[in-house]
This record gives sequence, structure tokens and C-alpha cells, in this order.
Amino acid sequence: MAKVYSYGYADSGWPAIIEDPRASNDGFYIYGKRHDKQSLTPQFNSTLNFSTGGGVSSSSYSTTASTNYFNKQHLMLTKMTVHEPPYYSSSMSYNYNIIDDTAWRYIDDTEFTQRGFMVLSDETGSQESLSMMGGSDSYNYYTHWNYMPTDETYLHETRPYYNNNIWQYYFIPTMYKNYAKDGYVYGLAQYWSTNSYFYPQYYQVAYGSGWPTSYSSSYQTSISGMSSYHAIQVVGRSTQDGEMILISNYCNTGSSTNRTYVNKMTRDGDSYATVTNIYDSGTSTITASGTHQGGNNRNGLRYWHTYSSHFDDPRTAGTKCFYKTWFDQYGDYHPFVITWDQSTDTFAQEEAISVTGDKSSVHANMLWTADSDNSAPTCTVTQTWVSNSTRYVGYFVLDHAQKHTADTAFKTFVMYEVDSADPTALTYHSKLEVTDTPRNMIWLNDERTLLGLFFRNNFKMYVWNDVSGWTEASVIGEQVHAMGRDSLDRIWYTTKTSTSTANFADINLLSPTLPVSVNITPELSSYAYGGSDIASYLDVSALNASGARIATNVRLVIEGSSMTFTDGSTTKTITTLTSGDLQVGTVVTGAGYTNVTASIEL
Amino acid sequence: MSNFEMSMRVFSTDEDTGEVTESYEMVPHRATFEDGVLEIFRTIGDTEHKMVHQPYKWVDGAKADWNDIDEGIAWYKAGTEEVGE
Repeated sequence: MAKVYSYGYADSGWPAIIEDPRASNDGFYIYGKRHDKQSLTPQFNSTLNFSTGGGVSSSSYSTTASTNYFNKQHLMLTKMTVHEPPYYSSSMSYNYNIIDDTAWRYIDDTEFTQRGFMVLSDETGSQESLSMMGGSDSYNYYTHWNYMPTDETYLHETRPYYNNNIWQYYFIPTMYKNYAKDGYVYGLAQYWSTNSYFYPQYYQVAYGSGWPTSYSSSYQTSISGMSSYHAIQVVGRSTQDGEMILISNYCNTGSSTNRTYVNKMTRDGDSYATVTNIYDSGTSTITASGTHQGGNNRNGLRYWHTYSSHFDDPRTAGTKCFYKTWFDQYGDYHPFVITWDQSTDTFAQEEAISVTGDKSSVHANMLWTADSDNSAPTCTVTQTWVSNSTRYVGYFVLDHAQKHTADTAFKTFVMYEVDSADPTALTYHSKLEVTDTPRNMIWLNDERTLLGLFFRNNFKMYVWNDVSGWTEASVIGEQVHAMGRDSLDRIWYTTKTSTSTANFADINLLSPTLPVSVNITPELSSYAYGGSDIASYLDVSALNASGARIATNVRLVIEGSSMTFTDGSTTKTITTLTSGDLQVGTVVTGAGYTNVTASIEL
Repeated sequence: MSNFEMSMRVFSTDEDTGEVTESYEMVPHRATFEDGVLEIFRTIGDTEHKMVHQPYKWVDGAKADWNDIDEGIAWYKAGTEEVGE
């Protein structure tokens, strides 16, 4: 973990990092000045200029948060990047308590678009422009580059076409990629009302009407059927007509918390997409089925809850499925399965979920007290991932406002293994226990087997292990304000600088060669010793912060008197492989327990 | 066809300063109901936008036909909750 850059007073007009989102361009700017993307060597005469006229000016995307508490864009990177502003209030009723939803907005991973700096393109990709957006408590700012002479033209070699304020009361709007049509560019924004209650709310947004040459006008409207209390996520685009499909959870109280609501957004040459409600599960109380006791979601208590990413339904070809966060009336986690038949855009909600082994209430009481009308400062996130061909699903509870620091439900998260042939059949796997309530989360690799949690006073990374579950791998011992990955999968993060009393940011880089976890797996979990030596082996691998295999020296020590390495020793330093597990020979020489420990040589 | 109005929040952006102001206004709407398909149009300034195209309603997770245009307008109003524009 290396500090790459300390903030200087001349840097106040820029975000900490801007990565050009075009795959064809390696522009990489640290506080407005281009650096070589690979080596990070500063490049002369390459400062950005955001003046649209003949002058010179910096940007409106400063990292400072000295006078407000909002999602400044510290890091404009192309892969998942989460901003976690330092300010919060456990009284809840402040709009800066609303959580950045980047870690879960896109149910379709292929639709993921990082807020901040993005390519605007139509479905063919034949035309494209660039758009940057950032925010404060009063306004969002946006900057458009509607013409880049060539793909090789760097950002600092040209100037923007348009700069302006836009869309008050929104967190950073994010436009759908490859989705511009008939002169309009469409997207989705988290919205906050000007009243004193803060619940999940979203608006559809658009630029137009002459994209890609003239699109400075902005449009915004609530989405029919998905107004107040509806937490919206992007399901993906229809394979039938290419239109975007949105889904919402109702995050207020009562039987409506069971509701799954799906809209198709049809572009028809207008600034607003036309809404068709293509599925509504209804608001009936759920009947007991599978292993749950029915009732309303979390017994009808108010909470922001999410859907997971989707995956191929193992039961039906051409159908996607994903999980909806759902707890029965006793607080037992039974995530509903939502299916999407892509041949007809037909959705269904499967409620008969069966859990084998521990129910979640054995470990955590999820019937915690609801937070008046302010459901947006906390969020219960369901997510699924695959490790070594096995699928898992689990939930994480976030407490952005730090109101629930004494509540174990916000510190204990339960994980289940998914039956390979039936996504409604779950088996208890493990739990993740943390010592503080996380304020937000980020996935640090594409496989979602490396997790980052933002805490009040530090940041922790966890690696998924098929045997033990989420295992703490690394700690950053100070508050992290933003973290994200660039297109090279390097992990960047910002911390408060000591250079200024204001909240400007220092830039840090997690070393890609530093191992954060070592996996040791014996050939067998137990051996039947009958008096003769048994030849066997250990599989050993080391992973970096991105979850990738790395070659590094690992010192292995066999404890106990029943096993040695093949050469008879009990201590050995080996070098792990980038291509797969390293097989290290062992011999079982007697009966009894054996423990193998690993340490990293730095 | 049926015309109706809803009180909605309207944002206005000053073209020169970017300053955004908000107000509540009665926003005109138009609903049509042809061959059982509900469509809702909203007029902002001089421009009419098609907001909803809804060939059916949902009852406990199952599709059903609309009874009439008034049922569709009531559904739209309930879902829009009279906020935001």
C-alpha cells in the first residue's frame, strides 16, 4: 500500500485521478496532469484545460469536501469505484447520509457503467462522445466532449464542448452505455427530495436533443410506478427490442415490501422513455413455503434492500435468474428467486426457498428497529458469486449514518451455498463477523471474491474461501474516502491529506504484487493411517489484492508429528505460481492432527 | 380520451447561470384508451410526452385487462405519487 501522490494547494481544481474511459486511449491524469498509464511517469505539457472558450480553466470537480458533505468525484476510474464521504449523522435526517449505490445498481454485470467519466455511444458504437459528471450538495456538474479528432487524441490536446450545472438534488447521474438513440442519451440518477425524509428514490435522466453534436439540454422525471421508496436497479436490456429494463424494491412498510416491480423503458424519439410495467408481483402477504414462515419482508419493517446480479438459470435455457433480499416474519433470510425469460421478457417471483442448516436468525436478528422515514442511510445488499464452480449467495448490511453501531445485525452477515441445479435450494455455509458497522462496500475483482468494506476509521478487504467463507486479508488503518479499480485492475484509494485542513485527497495505490491471501488445500481432508507412510501433497496458491494468482515466496510450517514434507523436513519456502496451484509433496508418517501455517516473505 | 391535471414538482434551469429553481405546478395530462391499451401523455411547456404505454394491468402477479380508462388513470396517479418532473 503506497502513497503515490500527496495533495498540493495547486491541485484544488481537479479530481484526484481521471482515467480516459475510451479503451483506445491511455490518458491517465493525476490532479489534472497526464501521467504514463503504466509507469505513472509525469508527462510534460499535458495539463487539462476545461475552458470551452479561448481561455484556460480548471474543472468543477475538485476533491474538496470542506463546505459540504457530498459525493465529490475523487476517482474517475473505469471499473467499480465507490465514494464514501466522511460525513454522517446518526440522527439520519440529512441528505448526505444517503448511500452511494454503485456496488449493486447493475443486475446485469455487462451493463455496468462507472459514474464519473463515461463514453456516450449509440448501440452500434459507430459514434461516441465523452461526458464527465460530478456533484455537490447544490448541483451536479457536467462536461461534454462531443468531438475527439481521433481515438488517439488525448483529452489535454482538445477542450470540452460544453460545461454546466445540471440536475439539482441528484447524486451523480449515470448514462447507459451504447444506448443513445434519436439524438438523446438516457440514464438513471439517485434522487433526494428537499424534504427532511430520505428514502431511496430515482429519476430517469436524459441529454438531447441533437446528440452527438448538440445535446446540452437536460431532462429529468420520476418513473411511473417507481416513485418514492422504490429502490431501482438496472436489470439489463431486452434481447427482444433492445430497450432497458428496470426493477425496484419497495422500501417502506407493510406487505408492499414483498413487491417486485419491473418496467421496460422504451425510447421513442423523446426526452423521456415511455414506461410499460411488464411485471408486478403484487402486495399480498407471502404464504409460508419452502422452509420460511411467510409474512412480509422483514416483517414489514422499513428497509432499503436490493437484488443480486443475475446469472443463467440452471433449470431453464434462455432464462436469467437473480435473488431478491427477503426475510420472513421471523427475520430468517430466504432470498426470493426472480426469473427473467429473455425470449418473452416474462418475469416471475419464486417464493418457495429452502434452507438446509442454520437459518440466518441463529446468527443475527434482522428484525432491527426501522428508521422512521429515513431508509436511505442503511441498506441490506444481497449478492451472489461463484468460486471454484460453486455458487454462493449472502447478504451484507450497511450503516452509512452509523446509527446502528451497537446492533449485531449490522456486524454479522450470513452466507449460503446454492444447489448447482436449483437456485431455490440453499445450504448454510458461513458468516462474516466484523467489529464495526460498515458504511459502504465495493467489489474489488470481477468475480466478486474480493470484498472491501468502508468503516469509520479504517478499510478492510476480505477474500472468499470455499471452506471458511469471507476471510479478512488486509487492513488500511485510516478512513478511506474513495476506492476503485482502473482498466489495468490496479486498486486506487484516497485518504484525507495532511497538507490541508480541508478534505482534499492524497492518492494511494494497493501494490498489485503484494499477496493478501494464501490458500493451502491438502489432497484429502483426512487420512486413514495404517502403519505405513502415505504419500500426499498440498495445493498452495497466493492471491493479490485483485484476487489474481501471483508468484511469491511463501514459508510453510507443518505443526504436529504426523506429517512432513517429502524430504522429511517440516519447514519449507516455496514460490507460488501464476498459472495454477503449486503442488507441494508431503508424507503422512503417523496418526494425529496436523496443522500447516503459511507466512509471506516481504 | 380523457384530460386531467396533476400537481407536480417542476425544475427550471437558468440557461445562463445554471441555477435550478423548483416549483409546484398543475401539469396537464391526456389519457387514451384504444383496443384496451392505456396511454398517458404529459405536457411540459409546449411539448407533449408519452409517459406510459400499458396494454394490461397486474393483479397479484397475473396480467388482466383494464376495466376502463378511469381505472388506468387512477393506477397512473397512484404510481406517480404526484412528485417530480
